[in-house]
Amino acid sequence: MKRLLFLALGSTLLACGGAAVRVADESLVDTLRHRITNVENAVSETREIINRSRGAAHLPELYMRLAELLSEEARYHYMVAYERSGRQSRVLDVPAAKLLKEEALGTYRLIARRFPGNPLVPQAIFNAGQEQRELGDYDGMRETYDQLVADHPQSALRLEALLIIGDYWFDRNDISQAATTYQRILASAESPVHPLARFKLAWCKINTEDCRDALRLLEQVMQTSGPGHTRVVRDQRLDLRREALVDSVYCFSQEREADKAVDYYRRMAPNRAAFVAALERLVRRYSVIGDPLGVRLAVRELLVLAPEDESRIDDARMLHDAVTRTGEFEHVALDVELILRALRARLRDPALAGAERRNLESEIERLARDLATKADVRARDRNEPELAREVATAYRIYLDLLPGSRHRADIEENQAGALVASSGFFDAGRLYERMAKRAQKAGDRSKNLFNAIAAYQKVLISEQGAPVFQRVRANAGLRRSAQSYLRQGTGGADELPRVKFIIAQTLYEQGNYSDAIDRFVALATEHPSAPEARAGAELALDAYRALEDYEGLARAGRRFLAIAGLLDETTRGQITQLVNQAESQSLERTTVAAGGESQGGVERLRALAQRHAGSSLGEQALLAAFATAQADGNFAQMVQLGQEMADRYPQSEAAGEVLASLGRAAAARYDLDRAVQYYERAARAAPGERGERLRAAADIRIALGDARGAAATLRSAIGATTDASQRRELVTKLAELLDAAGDARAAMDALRSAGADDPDALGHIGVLLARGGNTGEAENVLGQATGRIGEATPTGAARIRYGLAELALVTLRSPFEVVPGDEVGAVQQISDNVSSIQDAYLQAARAGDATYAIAALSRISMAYELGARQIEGIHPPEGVTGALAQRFQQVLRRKADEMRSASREALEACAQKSREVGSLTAAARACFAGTPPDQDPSAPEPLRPRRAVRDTRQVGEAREAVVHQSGAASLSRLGTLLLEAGDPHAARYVLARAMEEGGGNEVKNLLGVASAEAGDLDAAFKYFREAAAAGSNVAQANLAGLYKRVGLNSLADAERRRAGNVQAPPVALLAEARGGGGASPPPRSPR
Amino acid sequence: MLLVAVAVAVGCGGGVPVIRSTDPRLPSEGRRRLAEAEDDLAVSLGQLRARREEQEDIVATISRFEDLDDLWEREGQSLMQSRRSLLEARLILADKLIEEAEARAAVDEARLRLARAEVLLRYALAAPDLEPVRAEIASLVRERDRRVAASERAKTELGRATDRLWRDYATAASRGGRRANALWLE
Repeated sequence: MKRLLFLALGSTLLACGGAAVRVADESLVDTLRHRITNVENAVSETREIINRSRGAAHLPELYMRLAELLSEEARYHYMVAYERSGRQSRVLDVPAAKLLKEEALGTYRLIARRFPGNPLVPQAIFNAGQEQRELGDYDGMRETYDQLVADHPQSALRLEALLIIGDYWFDRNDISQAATTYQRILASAESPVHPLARFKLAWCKINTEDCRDALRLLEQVMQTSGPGHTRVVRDQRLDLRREALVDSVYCFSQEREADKAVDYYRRMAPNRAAFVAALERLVRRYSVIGDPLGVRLAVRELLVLAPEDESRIDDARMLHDAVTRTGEFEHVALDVELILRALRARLRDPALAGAERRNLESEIERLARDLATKADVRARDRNEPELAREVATAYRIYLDLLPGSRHRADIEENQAGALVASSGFFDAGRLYERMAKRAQKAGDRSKNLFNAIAAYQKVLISEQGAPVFQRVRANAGLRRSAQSYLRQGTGGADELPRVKFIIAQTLYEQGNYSDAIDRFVALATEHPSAPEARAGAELALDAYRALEDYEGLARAGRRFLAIAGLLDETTRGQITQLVNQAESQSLERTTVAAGGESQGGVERLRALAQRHAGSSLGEQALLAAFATAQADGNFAQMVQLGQEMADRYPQSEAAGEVLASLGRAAAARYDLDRAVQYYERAARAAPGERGERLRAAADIRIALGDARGAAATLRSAIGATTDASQRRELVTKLAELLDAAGDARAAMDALRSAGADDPDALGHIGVLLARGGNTGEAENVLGQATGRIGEATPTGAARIRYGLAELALVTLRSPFEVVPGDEVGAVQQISDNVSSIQDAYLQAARAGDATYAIAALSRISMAYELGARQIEGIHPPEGVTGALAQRFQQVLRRKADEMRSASREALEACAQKSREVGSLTAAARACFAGTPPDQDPSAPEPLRPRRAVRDTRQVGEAREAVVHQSGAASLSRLGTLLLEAGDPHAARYVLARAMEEGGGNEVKNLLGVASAEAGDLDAAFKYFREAAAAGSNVAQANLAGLYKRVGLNSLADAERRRAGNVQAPPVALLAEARGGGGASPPPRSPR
Repeated sequence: MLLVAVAVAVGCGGGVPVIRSTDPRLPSEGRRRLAEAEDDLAVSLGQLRARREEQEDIVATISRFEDLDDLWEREGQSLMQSRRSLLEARLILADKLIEEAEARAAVDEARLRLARAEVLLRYALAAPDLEPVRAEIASLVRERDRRVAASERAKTELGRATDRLWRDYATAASRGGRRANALWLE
């Protein structure tokens, strides 16, 4: 309890022997003595005035003044004594002062007694009470003030008096009486006394444990202001609001929650100093009652606001204790700072030194460290990032304020861990870097560098996205740390791949794909079994995809696939698929680009093929290049690329088609030798299409007169063909070819090996046998064929009939066996035989094949000739001589002549037929010559052997022209050039196409020339006749030349006369037609 | 030189009066024709810029490589040379691709001029001579094709250099030891 101190008059000033005595301020003493003198004078004067003013109205004032002067003098005497005593005690025995005060008291009583109605009376009574109090007469004082209150209820001093009365009772521990007295004050109208009354009443409440009311009253004091809130007590100015604030702590702690205290007092405090005072009180109060929460909150605030002095160290201790006991670390950073700042403030005291200083440092450091580490453990145990962030800050503050701490290394490590836990990766990275620099051991350096790398990486791959500048710095930090780590070379074996992966991944995340790819590949190469290597491989491929470098992707993918131990089965499958897709993409893009680039496009594809030679991509690229060249119509390039395709990728499924395309392209250019070559190579490369390609090759060989080559190709084609009708066709062609080449045996073998059981084949075999003189076998075969003649083609039927006729003709070759005496019958028989044979041939002639018709007609003439000879061979019967014999001979001669006449008629009919159909076969030639053919004229005549010539530039250009401007004109030009160059076989192939394209007489004439020079006289004859009939005198002249060539000179002359004057380039005329004759070899005689 | 031609011609029209796709005198078909040609040129120029940036990246990589000369020497001459060859091949390819892109831009610029001329002629707004532009385009196309071929050759060389590097790298890695760190320190 607060007690007012009073002067204890009568106490003795003790002089302390040996203790320092304050020397009285003599100047002040002199001043006081001077004042005493003045006051004494004033007292004397006042007394005199009083003496002179008896009965005056102002006498009370004079007495009042006298009393005040006496009191003042007393005070001066006291002050002199106080100064003289060295101000060692206020309890002094000063008789002079006592006397003067008693005199003053008497004077005040006199005023009250002698002037009861005077307005000064209340003041006089009040002052009397003051004097009594100062004289130690408290009871007298109370009585005086009771009197004042009772007698002067309206006086302003009444409330002051009540206040003093209340204090009187309070000091005597009569709380009830004191409270009643204070209540009387508060019941009056508000006055400057009320705040103090409230304050004192609040203390009464406190003493009676009524904290609620006490708090209410104190709040009233705190929340108002006015002149009554400041009181001077013993020369000290007291701020009631401050006092109420501080004194309310007790009741606040009883009535309100501790967590509201700081805010409450902050709000209620009139100023900072008051707030600090309240906080100090709060801290002590909560300490006493054992409320760590209250302590924590208050002491924290106190440490923030209070001036830095010694007591702050205790506050720091209390803060640590409170925080530890409450276990609430959410402000641990601030707490650590406050604790350490308190220490630093204390350490600034130079008086603190030696062991005491060291101990204090150690103690407070430990407290700060303990708080931080406890909070750290809490944050980790509960996985609270926010708390971790707070802890990291606490550690930082610790290190800032205690830079020389011997626990620095551990604290830094903890701080780094807290930064990581709170996602402060950038700061963690920098910290780890600093720790690495300071680390003494290589292992620690590596560990810290590794941690730095991991932390920086987190910054860069954070989903939230760090600010740009921080990312740049993190990137630089990562690179720096990684390089230091690698340079050191002491990292763990499992760490190395991770570090490298992070480096590469960082580059990848930055979009620096090329550099990232290099590193991912290096990682896979160096550490194939590390999981990071596999992940890196996938990222490398992804980087290639981002660069749209599909070629590179395919190449890298294959590289990865080849690294043993790098990929598991699943990833291997995925990458294989990626590689395939990339190759397709690469090819597709290049092909699309090539489409718009003409020449450049093919080169692009070719280059792609070269780069990936031996792979499926290389194959596809080459194929695409070929297709592009084909689309461009660039044959030379097609050849190059096709050749390359076949050489590099002989097993390719497309090789066959490429070669076939080349064959078609060559054929389209009428580059027939190449076409054959390519078709045959295509057949070898692709067994599935073999038959078709060999057929195409064979047809060209046949057209070019290459019988041997065609035969071989046909045999291969037959073997490759499964379709029965196609096989039959090929076999027929082969047989015809071999027959024309004079190899009947081979022809028959070909027909038989193909299982010839159709009438056409049997007919052909039969004719071959008959021609070869195997009459018995021929008869057998032809007999089989005859039974199915209805199924035969016209040619086949003609053959069968012809064959049978040939067999019959044989009978006419040997002399007729005349039965003696039946010579006449013999002649008849011979006639009948010839007639039958004629019928047989006529059947052949009517079968529908022109060649066999002409041959048959020519053989009829031969039959008549042979018949005539047989007749001529009959001798007269035995015993017939002389004229009878002559007569007999005449009859026989006449019969023979008739036969010969019939023969000539047959020849004529044959010649007519030949002219009609335009044929110059061996049979036709015999007929034209008027000589019956002794041997079978139906055998096909082979073409002349071909001599291939080299292409000239003109021929090459003409081929190009045919490709780009196909038509009769371009074909005609090419055909002419080939003819001029000496390749009639190729020429007639081309000129035949020209005819199909609408070529006119000129072309027909040239076609005739080419056919004649190739050895196909029959075709030449036909073309010359048609052209001549259409009005071409050049063809007429050539017809004459042709006749001449085959020895039909009279016919030749007749045609020559008809031709007249002929103007034509040499190439358009046969040598015989140019007038030179003899240049061409004589034709083969028909067999 | 080609790029100078592009730069000059884009602004000056190269002898053909300049008409743009936004010209109100043109019907929609004519505007579309010009717009397509303008777009093609814009794409080409964009591609050219991209190629230049790629080249700068490669130059930076080479610079880092050269800075670590001593480290690479420790890895072995063969590996160092392979790495250098690869970087050189990349740089050469980058140069070729720039040249190719320049050629493409020149072709597209000339085609734009041709499109302008054709449009002017078609809608009787002017009577420019088309043949010189067509001849120029043909020449530029040939040049472009030549540069395309050069790019492809450079790609082939790059492929070889890449294979060589990783072959040497694998050899070095199989020997263990320093584990080819120089690359990681670039």
